[in-house]
Amino acid sequence: MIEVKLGEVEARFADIIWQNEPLHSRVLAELAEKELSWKKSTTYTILKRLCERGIFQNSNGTVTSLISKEEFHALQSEKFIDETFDGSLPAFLAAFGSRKKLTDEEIRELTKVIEAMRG
Amino acid sequence: MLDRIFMEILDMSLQASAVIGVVILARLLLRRALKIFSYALWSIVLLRLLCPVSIEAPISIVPHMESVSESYTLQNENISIFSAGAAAYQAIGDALNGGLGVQHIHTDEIGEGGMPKIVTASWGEVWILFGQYVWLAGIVGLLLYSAATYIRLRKKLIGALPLGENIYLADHIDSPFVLGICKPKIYLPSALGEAERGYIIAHEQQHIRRLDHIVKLIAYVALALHWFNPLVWVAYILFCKDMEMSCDESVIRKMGGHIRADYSASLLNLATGRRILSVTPLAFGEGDPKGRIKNLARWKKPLPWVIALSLLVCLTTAGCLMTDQPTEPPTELEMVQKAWNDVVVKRTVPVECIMLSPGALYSSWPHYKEPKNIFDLLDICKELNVDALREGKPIWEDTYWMGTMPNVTIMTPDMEITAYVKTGNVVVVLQMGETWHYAHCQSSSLTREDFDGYWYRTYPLE
Repeated sequence: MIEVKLGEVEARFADIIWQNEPLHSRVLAELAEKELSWKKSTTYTILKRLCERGIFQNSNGTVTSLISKEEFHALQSEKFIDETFDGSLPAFLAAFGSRKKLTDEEIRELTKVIEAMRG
Repeated sequence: MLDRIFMEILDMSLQASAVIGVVILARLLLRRALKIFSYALWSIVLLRLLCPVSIEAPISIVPHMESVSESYTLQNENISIFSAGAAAYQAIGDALNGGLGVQHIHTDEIGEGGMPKIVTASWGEVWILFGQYVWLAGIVGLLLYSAATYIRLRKKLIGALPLGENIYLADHIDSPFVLGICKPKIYLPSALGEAERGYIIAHEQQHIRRLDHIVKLIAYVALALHWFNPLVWVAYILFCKDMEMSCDESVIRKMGGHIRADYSASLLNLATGRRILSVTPLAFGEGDPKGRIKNLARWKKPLPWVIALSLLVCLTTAGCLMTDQPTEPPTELEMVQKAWNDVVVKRTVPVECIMLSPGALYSSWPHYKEPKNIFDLLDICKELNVDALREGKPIWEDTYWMGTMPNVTIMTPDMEITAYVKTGNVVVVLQMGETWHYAHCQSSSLTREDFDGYWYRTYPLE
């Protein structure tokens, strides 16, 4: 099963490949450095991950796509937060807030509370 | 070494539990006040959990808990984890049979006859002995788990996009957070809209300014050390809530009360992930968006007198909790008992010299071995079967007696303890400062604890 859900940063990286393919991985690394300030090692790591997910392929240094950008956008619905995020944040980190199982009832109630604040 | 640290932690945990209880009550009082005051009170709990030293003051409301380390007598013994485990196993067996008796534990030292030296331990001591290893295992487990989640997180952060200053955009994270101690970096989930980034960044920057990212780490270490205490877990959860809510309030104060609605909307959006049904497990200690949004709904620009009152409650509670209640000065008998415990039972006091009464009695006995303490001597005397002791006579008057009885004197810088022995009876005289006390007991059933509470003052007379 092709995992086509991409985060925003990955999507920008994928764009670079789609716009310039076929291209050598070295060139890709240079472009990624310019656009995303990524180190070479970062580019190779992320490229490897995207290849494993079946979106791109890297044969002997030449990077090409396995599905086109249009196909990809067709499969995408709306922006969302990664649901396959397994496990929780380390408990000792200071954070903003996180996913919590809220019932529809609770969400409706809180939305009302927020609207009241606007008044 | 480990047992000493473990007992220190146990003592601190006990005291801290009382403090946590009071802070929870104080929090209820401060429910309508700014959360910064509740947050501040947790720092006292943290202090109590990590700092073994405390000051005594009469305003304290922390009761003096009975220290575990005072009754522990095995600290100088060399006992392996296997012996400890075996003894614990025995103790369970005994308890199931209705007894909480004494256990005999094999130490790693070799005593006479090439057999391992055996010490006796009370039921409570057995559990401390074994418990210290369980405690250590718990800490290691918790730390390994944390290390694993941290490493997993770092892997996810490869490929994060720098947005300027110390802010990064990352895929595959569902909550913004601060990472790093010296050069803290803020990570934002890429799926979050640009409009909401402003509030989140302000919140995280406030965390950094307040050094929250370091405090939370220290709190986590305290949690790891006290993992066995459920009250500490409760405290940690509440502490995290107060940290987040007071941070929210700081941001509102800085940017103005009018942003509350949009700020809360960001919080709600993040919590729901724009999907109504989400099943991702809650990140420990974070969250509670419901509580935080409701807290912001209640927020009013605080009036000076409200702040003053809250500050008063906060400082008073702090003062009461930072100190311990002064302990009653010990009675004379308590001091004598403690002296006996320290010198002979726990052997924690340095001994200047041990004198043995001379006599043919010793040198002619083929099994004679130089006694190092009163109990060694008593063992010998039991063997030698010396005449019965006359009861009831004040010791220091009967010089004939003292001249012929075998005895051993242990001298420390502050006192002299002499044991006089004849079969069937033992008398111990303890001279400390200007007073002399004695205790008397049957030598056939003598154990280290036998002298508890039997001390009588023999000089100066009442």
